[in-house]
Amino acid sequence: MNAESKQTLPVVLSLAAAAGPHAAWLPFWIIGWVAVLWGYAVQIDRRGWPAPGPAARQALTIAGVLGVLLTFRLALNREACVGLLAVLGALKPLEMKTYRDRMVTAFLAYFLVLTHLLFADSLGMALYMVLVVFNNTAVVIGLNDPDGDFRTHLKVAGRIMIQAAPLTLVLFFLFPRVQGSLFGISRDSTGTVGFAETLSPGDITQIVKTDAVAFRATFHGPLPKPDQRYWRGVVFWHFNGETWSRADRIPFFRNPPGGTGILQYTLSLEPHGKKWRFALDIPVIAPPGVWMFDDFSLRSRRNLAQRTTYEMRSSTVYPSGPLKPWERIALELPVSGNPKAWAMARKWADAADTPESVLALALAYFRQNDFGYSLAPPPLQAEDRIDDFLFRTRKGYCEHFASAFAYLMRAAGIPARVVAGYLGGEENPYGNYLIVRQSDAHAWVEAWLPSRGWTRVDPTSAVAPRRVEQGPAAAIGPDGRRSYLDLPVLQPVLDFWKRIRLGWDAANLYWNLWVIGYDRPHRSSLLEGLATRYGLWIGLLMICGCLAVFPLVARRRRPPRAPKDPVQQVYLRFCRKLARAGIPKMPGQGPVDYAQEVMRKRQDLAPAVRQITWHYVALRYGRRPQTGARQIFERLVAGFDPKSGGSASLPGAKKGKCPV
Amino acid sequence: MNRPPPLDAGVHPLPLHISMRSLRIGPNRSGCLFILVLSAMLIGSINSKTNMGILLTFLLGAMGAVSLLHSGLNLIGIRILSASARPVFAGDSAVFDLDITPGDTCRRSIGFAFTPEGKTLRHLTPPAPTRVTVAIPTHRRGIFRPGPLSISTRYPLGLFTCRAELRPALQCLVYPKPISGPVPAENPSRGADEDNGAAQVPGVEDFAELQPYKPGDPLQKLYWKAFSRGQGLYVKSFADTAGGSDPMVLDWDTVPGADPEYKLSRLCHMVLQAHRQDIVYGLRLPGHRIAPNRGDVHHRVCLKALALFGRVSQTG
Repeated sequence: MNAESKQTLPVVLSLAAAAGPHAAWLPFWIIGWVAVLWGYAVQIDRRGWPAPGPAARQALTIAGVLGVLLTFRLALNREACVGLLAVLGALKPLEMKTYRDRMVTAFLAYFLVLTHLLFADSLGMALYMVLVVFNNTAVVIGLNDPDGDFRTHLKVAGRIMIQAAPLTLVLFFLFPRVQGSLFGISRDSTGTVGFAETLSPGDITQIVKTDAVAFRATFHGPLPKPDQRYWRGVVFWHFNGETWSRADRIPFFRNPPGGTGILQYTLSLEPHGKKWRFALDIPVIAPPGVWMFDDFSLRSRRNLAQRTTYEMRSSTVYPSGPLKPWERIALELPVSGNPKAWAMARKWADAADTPESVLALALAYFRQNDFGYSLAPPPLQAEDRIDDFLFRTRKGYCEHFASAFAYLMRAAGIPARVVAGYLGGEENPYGNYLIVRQSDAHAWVEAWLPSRGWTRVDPTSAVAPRRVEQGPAAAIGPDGRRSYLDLPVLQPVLDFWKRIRLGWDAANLYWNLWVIGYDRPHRSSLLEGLATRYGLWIGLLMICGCLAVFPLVARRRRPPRAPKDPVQQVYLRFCRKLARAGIPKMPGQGPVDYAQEVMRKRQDLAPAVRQITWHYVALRYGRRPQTGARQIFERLVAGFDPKSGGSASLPGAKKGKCPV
Repeated sequence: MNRPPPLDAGVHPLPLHISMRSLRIGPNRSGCLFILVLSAMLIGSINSKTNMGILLTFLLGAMGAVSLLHSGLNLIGIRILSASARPVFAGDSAVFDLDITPGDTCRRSIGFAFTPEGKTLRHLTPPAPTRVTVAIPTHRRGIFRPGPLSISTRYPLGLFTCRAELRPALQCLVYPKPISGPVPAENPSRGADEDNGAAQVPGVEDFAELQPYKPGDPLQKLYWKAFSRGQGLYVKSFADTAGGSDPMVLDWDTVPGADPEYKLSRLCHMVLQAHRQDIVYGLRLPGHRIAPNRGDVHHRVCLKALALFGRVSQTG
């Protein structure tokens, strides 16, 4: 066993680490297949089990591919591709005989990391990715340095990764992004938690219970107060007796009359598979690529299949102005049904002189008649649901209250619409942002009052004021949902855990904002920001960098530069004259050798050549050149003419002994 | 055709070190595959708008770029202090022992090679010099000067091969390839001026007398039979060596054949045989003669004469 053959195990382990998380969803037979083949590959090396021949490998390949095709029913989706990769990746270690095979297998591990990113792009996955790359790089180093120990390899791998980090970031942030995808194939929708397109009391129960994050909003200024944290989503106009639905044709939002109490924030919306965008009540400007309707609802062009980050601006105080003609649909009700509610609303309308007082009467009704907030309300009968809720069950959550309240308003002749969205949000002290969860889903009512325009009315708050302040769990009350975790002893632990959770959430948010959500608009704004703020510095840095690199490049590219030594230049002139006469100096030839060659070929030049060479050698290599020797040398070369048979003997030229 | 290769202008005397200028770096096959894999990953990531994929791809790419620097630094500064090679016979591999220091840092997986096949992988750890042995096959007798010594590494990631070609002034004496054959029947020193004696054939078994063993006598001439009989240690003394009257002279002219290289090979074989039997022998080549003698030094002188016969302008 030489050092090389012991390398199957690290490579296989690295592959396993890279593929690991897929085990959570891959079919069992693929997991078994991979485990058996990898184990066998290790045993080939360790115990010398026979390696399968090409025929066996081909048979295994065909069997594996067929298995994958059948398992995934010939679908060519993400899952099938990863399954195929796993099945074939399991075969690769069986033929790891050479260095090259092992390198290819190690590259496969790098590629496997990428497949995870198609499924999840959380910060945790990023950390996992870094770890796998770290480990796999150490394995690759081990392949190239079979005698070294793994700890040294890990150290080198870490050093390389750290050194690569700056370049990675620069490349990542400066690399041009495309709008849309290259080949029109986009990721599958990962949105599993949808927001209801319609609203009929009873549907949101499911959502209320999930703690999944709906979105996070990072504020550039102070956070909005708890009673302002109404996140607008869908606006429902039509009511058919049991279901509220949105209007088909709502004009686009056109004239922004402006509002006060402007808040600016960045909203990072988790994929939900629908087109809705959420914004703090009331959005005043739509982000690019998003339509804003006249009822202040936002809708993107495509279903949200991935996390989307957008800049928003909302106004907390916004006068909406007179009722527009199309908004009269906010008075429509089904002609029949719910007679008791209808009668009660008509009675209020007759008794009160202003719409405001009707509204106050309705709220007082909810407050005084023993209505209760419950996440598991008794079912409502199929007919006359509003009546059944108002006069019989009186238990429900936001949808029930909003739906009934809007019905009462319309019956009383006040335009009203139901708005669904979220209410609240958990403050994260590690970042100036709110975490809004699916459990924060909420519905409320907007009524049009002549004095104030569209006004938000939350009947739920009349019944359960704590819902607004502290969220749905608090609204249920002390005996709603209680668990052993509420023990006071555990409180510090829970607080600590909460802080860790919020810190991790904050790290995730910035990861999402800066890495996952980094796209073309972000890139251009980053570049603009850099250019305006640090443009001068960056320019200077780049110039300095070029200047620093240039000598290195120039030294390599340019032929050896002309010597600065004047004596040598004169000598080179002499050499050029001889070269023209047909005796060029060879590159490795010394001056004396050259002189000998010249004298052998041209006897007539011998005295001049000997003199010049002697002077040159004396000037260049002699310890102490005589004064005036350089002038003589220069004159000798100037007068040297290979055609006429050398220079005339010059005055002052010494007929000394010549080393030639 | 028998002239030795002239000393090239690019050959440098030792010690010699690897400078940045002498480096050549390029992606190797694994590197090309890596680039291919990265391209696929980048295209896939862009297409699926997976920013993390783009990040991963750039991380791996940047790591590749950094590894290139590591490869270069792994070579720069390596210094060859000295080199030596024992003489070999033509057809054998000349083995050069190079003493190499790594400088200040540890060098991992450095390959030394004259030919792509004969690569020696070594780690160099400071500060002591490491002896690296690099072999290269020889074909002809004479002074063998290997081509450039290629020092290469693909450490750490194996994506780039970093190579420095040094041309240290190395040489190795190559003796003719010994060829066995029939021993010349006639007196090899027939034409000799002064030594007209009986024919002496190397390898004969008969010996003139036994002499008491003296320290320093070759062991292969011990008379073991006498020793086993308990008669003491004696040394077989051959007539030619003991008498000293007719030393054998291996003569160029007595070797049959027309090819001078063949003749040299035969003579080489004879010299080896004579030395092995510790016979006093001389050597006569056209224009060159070596007086009969014996011993290691004489043996080497003879072999060198054979190696350099007909080669001009070498000093050994």
